[in-house]
Amino acid sequence: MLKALGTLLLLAGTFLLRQKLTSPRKARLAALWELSQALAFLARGIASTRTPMPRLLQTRGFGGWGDGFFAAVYEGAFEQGKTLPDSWQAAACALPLSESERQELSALGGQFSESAAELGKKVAFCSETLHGRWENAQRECKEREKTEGPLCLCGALLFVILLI
Amino acid sequence: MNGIDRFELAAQTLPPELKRAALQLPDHEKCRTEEFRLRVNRPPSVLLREGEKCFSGELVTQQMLERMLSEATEYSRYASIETLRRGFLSVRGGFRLGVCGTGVEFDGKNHDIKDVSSLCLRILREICGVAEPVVPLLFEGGCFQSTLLLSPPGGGKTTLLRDLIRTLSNGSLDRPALRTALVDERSEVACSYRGEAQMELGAHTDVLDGCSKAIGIPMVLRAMNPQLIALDEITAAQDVEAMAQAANCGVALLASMHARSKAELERKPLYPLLREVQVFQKIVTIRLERGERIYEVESFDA
Repeated sequence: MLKALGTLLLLAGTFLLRQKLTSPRKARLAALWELSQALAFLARGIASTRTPMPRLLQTRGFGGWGDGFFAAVYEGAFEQGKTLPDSWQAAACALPLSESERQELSALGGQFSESAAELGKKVAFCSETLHGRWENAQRECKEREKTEGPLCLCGALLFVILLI
Repeated sequence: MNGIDRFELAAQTLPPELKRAALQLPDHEKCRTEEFRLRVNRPPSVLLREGEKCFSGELVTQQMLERMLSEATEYSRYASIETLRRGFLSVRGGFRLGVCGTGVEFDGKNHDIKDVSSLCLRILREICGVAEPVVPLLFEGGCFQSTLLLSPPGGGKTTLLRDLIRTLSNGSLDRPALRTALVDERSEVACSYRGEAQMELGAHTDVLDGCSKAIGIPMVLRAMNPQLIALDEITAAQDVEAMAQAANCGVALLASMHARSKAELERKPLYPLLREVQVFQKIVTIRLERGERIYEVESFDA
């Protein structure tokens, strides 16, 4: 009975450890996907319909990270009296992205005095870049999961055998 | 909203360092301020009736002007480009921001203004009731007579025009409300901001903002079935031709023009055309006498 319980605890611990290892990767994947979608929407709103920023930033439906980013930028720039580049940068820093992805996104914050065509192009380019990063990250993630999952399970079972 | 409130609301558009200084001006100057004038590398000033007065020793920088412009457009310069390329912006609250800098010109048109060097924030004031004594004189047999308002620049034409639109559009116990269409080419009458008129124009007024008179008059004529079409500052022959077309459809007109008097109007190049098309029946001349505005109504043909 004790052995069975010990085995179960070891397997559960391994499962939790694996979850902890994969959750930052999953968060990054979700953030990259949602932001690429949110920025694609922003690019269309700027270049095609010339919708003002406050109205664009109040749009929701991109998921937790995308909506959270828009909400943080809106609150900073239009409710708390910060400048839009500052709030954009602060909101970008709070995202679970790599340093280069964050820089890519932050750089957009200083471009909002450009013409609709130029700004639309820059935002669309950033959206495509983040989408490309998402595709790569997803591929890497799948490959790592292929090896990490069995490795964790084997490690746990070996530990169980050794203990028994 | 009184003069001090309008001043303080307009001051919110200024960069933070200048806003503090502007709000410290005495109340008697706040309520007489007509404009804030900011020029790069110069101290900021307010325009009073007697002239400009500096309100801070701090020099205006280009960063301040760029930030003010960005905030006035809510970081959406691209959404305001139609008026910005003509040198101005309508700001929330019914203010008007004049912009100077380097024009970006190609194909014979200005497309943008970069390197902003001066901003002029005009505090438009709404004076309700100025049209009340004039309105009864503009009706004959219960019908509104097409009217041309005359005054020199800064004489109060737009203020009177706005109040006439509001009064005629609302109507009264002895006068039915008139369905009014305003073609506001330079956004100076309604001061529309993102499609919303910032000035009170009455319950039956439709505003076509930022559209030239020659194009806008036939548009509202077809689309809005107006009884009265109002417009600011007639300057071109095409404007008069479009007005004549509207008058032929039985629509009354209310417009304004720069001229000190009827005699000066008669010397204007557009006068022969105005006489020929016979659009207007009445003229209202605005004169300033001992600081008070006097409105004189006469027949166009008199």
